Amino acid sequence: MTEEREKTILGPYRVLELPGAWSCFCGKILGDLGADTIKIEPPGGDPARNIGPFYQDMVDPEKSLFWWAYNTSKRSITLDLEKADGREVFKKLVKQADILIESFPPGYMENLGLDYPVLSDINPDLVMTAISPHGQTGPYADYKMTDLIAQAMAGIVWISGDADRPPVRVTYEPSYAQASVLAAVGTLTALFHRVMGGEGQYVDVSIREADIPLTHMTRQLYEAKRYVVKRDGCRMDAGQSKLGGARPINMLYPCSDGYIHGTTVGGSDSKPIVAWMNEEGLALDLANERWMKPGEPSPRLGEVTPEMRQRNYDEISQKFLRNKTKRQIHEEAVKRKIWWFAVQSPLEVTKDRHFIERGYWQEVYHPELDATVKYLGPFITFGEAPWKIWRRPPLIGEHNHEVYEDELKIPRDRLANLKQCGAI
Amino acid sequence: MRQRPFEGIRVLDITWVATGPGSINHLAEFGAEVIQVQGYSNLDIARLVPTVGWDMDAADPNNAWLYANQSRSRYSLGLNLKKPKAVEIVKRLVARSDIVVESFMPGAIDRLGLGYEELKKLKPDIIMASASLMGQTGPDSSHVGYGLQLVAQLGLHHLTGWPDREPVSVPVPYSDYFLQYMLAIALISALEYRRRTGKGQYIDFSQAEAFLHQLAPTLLDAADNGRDAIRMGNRHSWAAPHAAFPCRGDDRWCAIAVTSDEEWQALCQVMGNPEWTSDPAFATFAARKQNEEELEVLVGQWTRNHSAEDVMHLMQAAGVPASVVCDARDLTYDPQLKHRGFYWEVEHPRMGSIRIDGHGYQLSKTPMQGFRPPLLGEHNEWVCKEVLGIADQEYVELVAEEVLEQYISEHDWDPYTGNAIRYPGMATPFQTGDV
Repeated sequence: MTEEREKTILGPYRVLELPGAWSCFCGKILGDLGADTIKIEPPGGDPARNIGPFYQDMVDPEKSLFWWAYNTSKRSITLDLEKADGREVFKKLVKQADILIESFPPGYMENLGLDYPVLSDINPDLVMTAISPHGQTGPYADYKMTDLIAQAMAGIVWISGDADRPPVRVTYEPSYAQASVLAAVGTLTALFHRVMGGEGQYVDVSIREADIPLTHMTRQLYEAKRYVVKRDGCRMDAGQSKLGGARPINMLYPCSDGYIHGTTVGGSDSKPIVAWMNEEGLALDLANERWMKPGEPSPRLGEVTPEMRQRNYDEISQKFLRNKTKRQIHEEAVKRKIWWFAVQSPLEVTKDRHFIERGYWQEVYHPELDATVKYLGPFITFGEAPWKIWRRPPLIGEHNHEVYEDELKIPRDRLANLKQCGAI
Repeated sequence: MRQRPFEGIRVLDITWVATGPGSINHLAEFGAEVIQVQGYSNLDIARLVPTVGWDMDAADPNNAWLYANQSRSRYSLGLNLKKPKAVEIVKRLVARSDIVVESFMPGAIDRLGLGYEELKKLKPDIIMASASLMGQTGPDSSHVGYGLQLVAQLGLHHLTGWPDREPVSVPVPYSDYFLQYMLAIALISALEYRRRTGKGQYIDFSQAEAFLHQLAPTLLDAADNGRDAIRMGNRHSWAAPHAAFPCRGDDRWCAIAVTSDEEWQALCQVMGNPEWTSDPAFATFAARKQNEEELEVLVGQWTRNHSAEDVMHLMQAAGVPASVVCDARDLTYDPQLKHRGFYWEVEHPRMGSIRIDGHGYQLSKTPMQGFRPPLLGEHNEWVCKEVLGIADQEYVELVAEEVLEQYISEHDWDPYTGNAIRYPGMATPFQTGDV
């Protein structure tokens, strides 16, 4: 291990990650934190490389932006587990690994004779993490999964969308990252247990269950009062918001060039909202309220009636914001301690001054393109042993030579055989 | 043999609502001892979110479902952090803790005298994590808000809903539930680093910077291709049909995602191969995409005559990704979640028998174990006397000076002012089990 690697959080550890989209971000998390993470791909490449969008719209397994986003800091080797020779090589790799991550359907590894009982026999210290749609067993264990299905079964789709249309999903497919980040928690927990004097173990992760918490207390509302939250655009259901009053207020406010996510009087930003509006001659009667006087705290619950809130909402959305851009509003809100946020698109996020000034965006050189590509920055800013992109996402089998010849010391002629029979 | 992954680790939890407390559950339920510091001066908004029916008189900080789900498996120390003696107690706890997590606005913890430099003096290898909305630095670091607002800035609204309609979003503090996992990773990572090097550290956890990874591919498309993705309803760029379809019953839907020719053929088979399915207009993916509007209507005509459950079972049996679009009822009675033991039933002195959410992962040799959420200040005596060795006399003084705070009974809480009121004659301190 190099000296620099030793100083990282997971430097001493080796991770093997099998092909599939569900585990990519998990492997990236471990790799970015310093682990030697090897993506094992079938010859021809991980099917996840076919997921778009693609760099400059060049549809190519070496240019998938999904792949790039979630596979930094990894090495790549090709290996076909469906070949007996491939499995033999795999077992050699497992012997020296600390962590194995797979996201095949339940039963697949067992059918290959590579399930946890076999692998933990080879390496009792192994932490083996399996990501599957619903867990390894149960009535739905064999169900097929996509991001839409995960969102639907987690309850996310049901509560989202307009009341007069079908319920709707989150477009950008969050379940891949969601399942992976949960898997990373379980994996690191099991790893910590082992290095603290425990033993290796099996971590059984469910994609659907990873998504369920994203619905916040939707299920609890049913549990407590048999109340089923209904979708209604960008309104927070009255049952969930103590500021909702008698009627849920729309949280989406149009402005000159789009929308902001806003509040009305009633919360802790009541005073600054009214003060700002007052500068432009609006919300006059609210300016006379007791809680507007200097020294008085923000209005308490019940002091702002639903009628006041509705009038304030109408004034804000129909007059006050019409001549302002979302960025103007956002930046003013930061200064004035108002809970208003610009509703931004992905392109607007890339231009957002906050992330630029934090140095968030990373420029990573791709020698095969002779170009630098922009990547996302740290998901955690550590004081010691900082997060880093250790290498750009690998090409298919880019490290076959390093791993097979230099590290495993497989002789050249044997490698040639393995290549010819399709095991590598 | 070591029994539980985080046994022997003590975490001081000075966070609230969901990101902080939820992340700490992953340590608490694997053996860490967690002491949560909350008082009326920094009362958890999750304790003030009542259940449905906005019944002001029932607002009871010990009867809050959100709090119960997020802040369980820990001990509650009720402290008024506005009092210097309370800050001293926190410092004494830090000296005996491994991790401190806080989620104040940037700068606030330092003004309290509990910044990282101060805490390092008390315990040189302390791990401190500050979980703020935007990070400790940067032009938006002082922006006030929670996850519900944050996601608007990060793209969730723009990317959820219909292309011909206003943005919507998932109307909850959505980001908290990705960030819980990420913050847990930060804490466990820091423990591992300390194990090997003996060094603690300060973690600047920016909720925004972490959350953006949930939509990383879309952001790379913007940053590197200059393309600005937009919401697509339920459609998908390379799958058709891919939508929510109406089913029998009131507002019942199924989700179907056909991602290959094989799945398309299986779908047709399940529907009984109606004549329209052999129309060339639907024969290839490209054709189906071209005629997607009509396709959705036609599939919907079949699903309408079936229950969402039947569609799910029939389609899945044929190898087509499909499911019920689950609402809270479906989730409550879900047989797979039951099999997995996803929900935990706990007895709570104020709330009765409640079911809280477990976690979506299971470790084969060290299963999770949790316990019910605490009442406010429930463990004051235990923390002060047993953990800190505070003498009885000093303890009584701390109570009298209102350094220590405890919720006594439901009549002592005024939901309108947010203040506790003491009934005359109610002099005896709260005892666990009295409520």
